[in-house]
Amino acid sequence: MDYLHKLLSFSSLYSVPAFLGALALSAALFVLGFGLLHRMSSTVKKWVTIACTFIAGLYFLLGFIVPTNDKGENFITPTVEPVSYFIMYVFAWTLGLGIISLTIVHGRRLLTRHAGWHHSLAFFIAMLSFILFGFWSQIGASGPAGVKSAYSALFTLLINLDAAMFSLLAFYIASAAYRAFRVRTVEAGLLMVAALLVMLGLVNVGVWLTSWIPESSTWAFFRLENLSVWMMSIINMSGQRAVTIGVAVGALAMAMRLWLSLERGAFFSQEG
Amino acid sequence: MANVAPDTTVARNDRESPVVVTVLLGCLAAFIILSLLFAGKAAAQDHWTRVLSVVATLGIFTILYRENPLFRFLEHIFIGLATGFGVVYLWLKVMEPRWYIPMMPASLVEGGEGKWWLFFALLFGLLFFSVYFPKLSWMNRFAIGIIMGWAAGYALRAFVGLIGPQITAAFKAPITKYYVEGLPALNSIPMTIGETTWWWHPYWLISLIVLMCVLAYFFFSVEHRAGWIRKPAVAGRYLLMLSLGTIFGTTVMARLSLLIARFDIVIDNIRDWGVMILGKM
Repeated sequence: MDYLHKLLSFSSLYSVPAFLGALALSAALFVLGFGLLHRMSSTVKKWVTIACTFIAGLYFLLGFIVPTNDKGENFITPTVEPVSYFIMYVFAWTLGLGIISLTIVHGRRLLTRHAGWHHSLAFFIAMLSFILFGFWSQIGASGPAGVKSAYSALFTLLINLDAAMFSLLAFYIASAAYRAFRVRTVEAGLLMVAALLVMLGLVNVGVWLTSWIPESSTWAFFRLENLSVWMMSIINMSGQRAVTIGVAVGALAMAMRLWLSLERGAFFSQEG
Repeated sequence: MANVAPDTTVARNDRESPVVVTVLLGCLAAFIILSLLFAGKAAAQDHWTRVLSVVATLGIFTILYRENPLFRFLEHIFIGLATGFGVVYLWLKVMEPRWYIPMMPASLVEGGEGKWWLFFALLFGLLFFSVYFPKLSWMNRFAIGIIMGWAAGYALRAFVGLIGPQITAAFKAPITKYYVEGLPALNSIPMTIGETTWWWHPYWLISLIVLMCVLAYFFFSVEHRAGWIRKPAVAGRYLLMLSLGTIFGTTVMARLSLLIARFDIVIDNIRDWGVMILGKM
């Protein structure tokens, strides 16, 4: 009875047999519940899913709406953080989906010796060696020296490849800039002027160009470095704030549609 | 006949000779073996790190000339390493300390707390993988539904808790009783009316005008025909362009900074190796 009470009250279990029993019981109940649901009609599955989606959203909303005590807490507040973390742990397993997809794509190419199979082999070697050395280097207080060295080299390679990939964007952004800066409309002209002001304000040449304006004079505002800061802190901030407000209102409407499962195509709609 | 784009990847890969393939795979194997051998040799490891930096940078930059086997090879290695990093980081930094260790009892894992109910996270997580079994794939939608419901509830909370205060903060009064500093210049101008000193904040007024105009541009509940909405909306479009131009400028500068850093690494290392080999440059 004490064990059952502990299970029902979600108390910690410290003995190994009790813990393993709890896991086995949880798994059995989970499989049984979903097994029963699997035998139900598509309509039942759809409504169970919709109900669970609604409850998951309502839980967080109630935590915000229900009146709080002097400490700013209600009956939901203490559980909000653990439940949020729990959902994040659930979500973390989706990384496995990405790995399986990559494994299927590259595995198929490797097994069929499709053109470029050696790239897939390189992908597997890189991924598996990083995982192997990553976990192996954590074993014990210091970990095997050779493994640590290999892990460090792989990590260095990753960082450098990452930085090099992103620095390539500097070249591509140059062609984007050419297209954006072709002044054909007033809007394109304004975009160019703003970008030029900001870029010049951030480099020494820009600062030098207007360095003849004394820093303490009334006209110091027109020094490029000041103008650039002003553009970023006044015009850009307000513009972005307006966009953020618009996005937030859109996200609110979208959240309502998702929460109430009104979104077209959600949950089994193709199954009628 | 369906208009199908030719598979250029296959065409490109067909050109790669067995010699190129062998050399590339051999380099990868040599890289791992050398990395293992350099354990405990600080100087060798330092040189090795520099070589990797230069090879990775120049290898990736070869794409600027044209598509080539070296770039594609490094690209796949990058994807593999990034995936491996995702797995290692997620487990070691998130799942192990926050999920696995608290779930296990202390007698099995050091620091364990025996929170057995965390096991349900794995059970629910496994539902995602039902997508690979057509008959069970509805379970995947169940798991996604819970995540979506949570995200929707969180978004509703976030709107009130996070965005709400920002909206309030956006509407700053242009005239206050307080002196405000921190902006480039001329933000707070004193005005004495009677015995009270008021502070006039022109920048806050400009901010308010920009905000209202850009919001008017995105306000589609009313057709932009009447002057009272059309004029602010047009001004909003121009102001938004200034704002986007500012973002574009900072983005360009950020990318250039990355590029300069890569050039720095390559040039510095090559110069050092030159000094090492030739003595003086």
